[in-house]
Amino acid sequence: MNVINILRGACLFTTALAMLVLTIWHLKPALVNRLDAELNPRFGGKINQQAVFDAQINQQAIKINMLYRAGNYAAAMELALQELQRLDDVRKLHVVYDVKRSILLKLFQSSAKLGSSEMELNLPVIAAWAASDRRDLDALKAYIYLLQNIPGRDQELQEALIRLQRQFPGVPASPAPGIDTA
Amino acid sequence: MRLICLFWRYSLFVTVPVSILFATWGLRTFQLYYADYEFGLFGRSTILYDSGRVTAVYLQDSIRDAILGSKVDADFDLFVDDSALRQLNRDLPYSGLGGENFQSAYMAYPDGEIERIKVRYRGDMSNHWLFKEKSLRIKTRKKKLLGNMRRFNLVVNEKDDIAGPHLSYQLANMMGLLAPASEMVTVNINGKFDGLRMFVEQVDEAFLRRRNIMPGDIYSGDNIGRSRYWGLPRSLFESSLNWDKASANNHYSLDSKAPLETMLQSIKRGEFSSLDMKAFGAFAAYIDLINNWHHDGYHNWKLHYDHYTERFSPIVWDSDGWLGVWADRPGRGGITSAPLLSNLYLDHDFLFERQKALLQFYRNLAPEFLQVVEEDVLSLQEKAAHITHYVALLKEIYGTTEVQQAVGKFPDKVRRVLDEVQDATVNLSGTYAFAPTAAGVRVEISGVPVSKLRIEFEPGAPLPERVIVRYKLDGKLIERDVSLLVERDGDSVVINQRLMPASVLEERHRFRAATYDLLIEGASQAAITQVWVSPMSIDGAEIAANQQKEIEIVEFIGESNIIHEPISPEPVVFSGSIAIDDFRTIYRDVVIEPGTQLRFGEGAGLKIYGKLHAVGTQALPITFTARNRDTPWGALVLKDKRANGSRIVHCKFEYGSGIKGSTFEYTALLSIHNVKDVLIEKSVFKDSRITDDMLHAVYSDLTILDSEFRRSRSDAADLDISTAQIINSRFLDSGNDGLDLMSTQATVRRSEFSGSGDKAVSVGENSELTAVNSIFSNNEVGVQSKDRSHAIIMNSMVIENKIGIDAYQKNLQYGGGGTLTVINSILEGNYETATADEASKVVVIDSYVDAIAKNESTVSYALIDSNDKFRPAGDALSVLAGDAKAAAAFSTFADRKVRGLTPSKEYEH
Repeated sequence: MNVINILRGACLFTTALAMLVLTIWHLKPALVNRLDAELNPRFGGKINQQAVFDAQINQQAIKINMLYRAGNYAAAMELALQELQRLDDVRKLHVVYDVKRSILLKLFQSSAKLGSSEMELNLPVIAAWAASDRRDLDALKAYIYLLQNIPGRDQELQEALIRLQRQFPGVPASPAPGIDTA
Repeated sequence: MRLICLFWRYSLFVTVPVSILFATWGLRTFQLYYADYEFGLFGRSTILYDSGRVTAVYLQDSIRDAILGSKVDADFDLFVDDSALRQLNRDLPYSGLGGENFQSAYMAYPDGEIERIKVRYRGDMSNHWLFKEKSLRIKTRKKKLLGNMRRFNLVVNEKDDIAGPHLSYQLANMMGLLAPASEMVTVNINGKFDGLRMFVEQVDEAFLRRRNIMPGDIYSGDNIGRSRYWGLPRSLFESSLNWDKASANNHYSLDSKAPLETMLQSIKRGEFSSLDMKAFGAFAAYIDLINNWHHDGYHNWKLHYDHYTERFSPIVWDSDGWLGVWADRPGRGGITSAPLLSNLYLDHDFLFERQKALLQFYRNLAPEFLQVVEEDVLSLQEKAAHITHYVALLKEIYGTTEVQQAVGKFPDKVRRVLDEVQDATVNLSGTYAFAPTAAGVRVEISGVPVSKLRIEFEPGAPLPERVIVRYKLDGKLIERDVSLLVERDGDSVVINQRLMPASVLEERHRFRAATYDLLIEGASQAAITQVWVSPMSIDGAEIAANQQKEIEIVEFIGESNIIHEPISPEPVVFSGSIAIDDFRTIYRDVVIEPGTQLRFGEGAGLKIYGKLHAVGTQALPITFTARNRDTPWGALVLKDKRANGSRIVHCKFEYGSGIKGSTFEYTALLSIHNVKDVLIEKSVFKDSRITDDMLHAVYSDLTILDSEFRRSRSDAADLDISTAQIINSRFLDSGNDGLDLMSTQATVRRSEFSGSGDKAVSVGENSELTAVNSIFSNNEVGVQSKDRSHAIIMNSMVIENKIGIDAYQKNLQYGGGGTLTVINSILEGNYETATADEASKVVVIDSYVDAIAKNESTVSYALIDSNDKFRPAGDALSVLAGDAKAAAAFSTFADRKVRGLTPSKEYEH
């Protein structure tokens, strides 16, 4: 009997909630939109403004960029790796993919500045990036750059260079994105 | 209190359904909200409210359908298993999109059969797959095409105004542009109505074949969404690397984009020779008429490159006519939505063709198109009656009435735009003026371009012998002698030269005034009384230019192909013994004198854009040969319409090959591309080397008379998308086929095909062959008909071949096999007389057949005496033996001109 009463109570509560929510939805769309704007971290605080990138992700990307520019490559790399873990399921077509891509680029560039051991450490991430989007020339060039600078990767390098030639005929492997040839 | 108790007791009857509904609504709202949060929908900022609203509508429809049902007699009935749907939906957009994500399903065909198909979602933008109704791509089984299509799309619409995309394709097809077939259709999925969609043909190699175009490259430029390239310029017109190939000429590497690369480089230099200007002019006119900028620098481009015309043509794709943010703007034409169009708008050939296309539309097509719009809108309104709710771009939810009303307004919208574009282009007001100069007359052109002009002189005054047009381009004075375009007309001279106004490129293209100086030699400028111009307007009437004392010169800036100097009618003449060691292109007519011997070096050749007159005599034949037999020469190429009417008589072609470049291919030592009325008579072709064919014709029309083809390396004659008559000719010891037909109509009379390494005649890919009084002997296969081709063989001998006649289905894209009918003929001494697969049909009527094998069940015989299949068909034999009376009896079947003659008899002489 108690169970039935609890069920009755729960259903009554849900029904009341449903009425309230649907009434708000029906009569106060602006309120729903305001809630949306508050809940949704991708947007700024103001309603009906053009969407901007996820504020948090974007801030981290900016921070990584600033660290890199300041020459603090290790910190930039560390933060990039941390962010990329959070963005693991973000793929092409996702609204924040552009940001993820910019972080991947900075990860690569930081590794390149830090030396072969960091390059080797981050090779799997860059390799996965190059494999995940076969239309990304930057990713492929970054991957090739790492393979060229990590000893003992001749076989993979050869395969990557063949892929570059097949997919992007006439495009040289260097310079890698953001890396000065000098 | 009692009421409260009662309510409490029975509340579950109300609160449980409400709670379930609310929970379902909440969950689905969140799913939709989150999907949009992840993938975005056209940059909208707040989406929670709309997600809830849309979900509520979907729930409402589901309940209604569950109670009332949603049975609609739809145009498409698809049956997709729940597990397949789950597979498609499990990780959208990654699960349902892309080439490898097809799931098995079934579809009801118009003939009532339900057949297995494959289905997946399509479309980069989330409106194609985010909502309940999704855009679909369907792939049929190879052996069960829909019509003659294997791949097609069912695309959801973006707006209430759902007529635009379909009617854009209708317009494009009416204007003769390459555009997919489309139709607005209703769709059921698993017996439930699933909305309206636009059926669109897929653009691929089969798209070209269905239009009788040689399979070639189709480049697809969509540098957005999943197809976006990174690390390359964003603009499609900056690099060939950010284009994909939707179809490829299989004679080249699949990765090769050489034609596109060459074209993109050349348009930057203002050179447009690789573009089919007629097609691009019509395309620009079409864009103006639909008043839309959707073909932009980043997406919605498809370009077809034909290695045989060596030109690009645009393919219309996703134009969204009369829709989007441009829909309500005035139609003013001159839309420069992409860099390619901006470049083209500075080219006078392009502007001329665009103007012609606009004129043709308004003169001939506009009423018909408006009629199509009215009819399609009515049909669409009927189909829209099935809609309960229609969701477009998340925010907008429409019911039947709203969609019907929006569609109903469409004809007025189209009419308004067409009227505005007409006023802005072909009815464009302008001024035409002239003023005397020291050497002639200066004319000013503004407004509508001029197709020709007439200069009137005082009665009896001498008329000019030479006319030169001078204009100023980028600071330089350019002169073009147009005397060849001048006609005398009483006291006037008519100059058949188009004169375009100058161009201004802003957001759109517009014309501004231009000046041309006409320098007159042999006449006095003082005798000029009036200049008349013929504007390219609807009425085409000649109007008088205003005479002025002086007109200031106007300079063209960055424009191209302003005036072409006419090609001299004087032919290039070859005679004697001539050595040619390179590959020469000749734009004039060519005459080769009897007895001339052209000796080519390795790979050398001639490409002639004019008419060839190579007429030798029996005593003095013309020879095309190699300087050294071990190093074959290239090719003699006849190309394009100015070569129409070429004559090749008493010529000998030997030891030649073909020429292949990255953007062109001449596969035979005599290659004829896009030329009509070619005669090859009393000529010999022999001993070809390296490349496929000895004679290759494409998009052409030719007659081969009394000629001989001997020892070709591969095919003796390969005719693609052409028409041909072959009379009294011999095809002997061909390395492969004697005559290879693709989408070609050919008539063969009194000819002999012997010793072919493969088929004597291969009738393929929707070709038609009529062979009369001919011999097919000692070949691997006598005559083979395949892939919706039809062959009729009459009064002929098919003897001592490995297979006499054969019909089968090879290329499944054509959706059927071949048919072959043999009448009044002899099939004798063949290892197998006749064979046919299940998709094909062979019929042998009134013929002599020496043996019928047991396995020839797909071949039907109706011999003269049905009681004795092996009885010689006496009358047919008599005809072949030269009995004139017997031949007369078969006049119904025999070629009237040659009846009574037999191949064997002919060759005895």
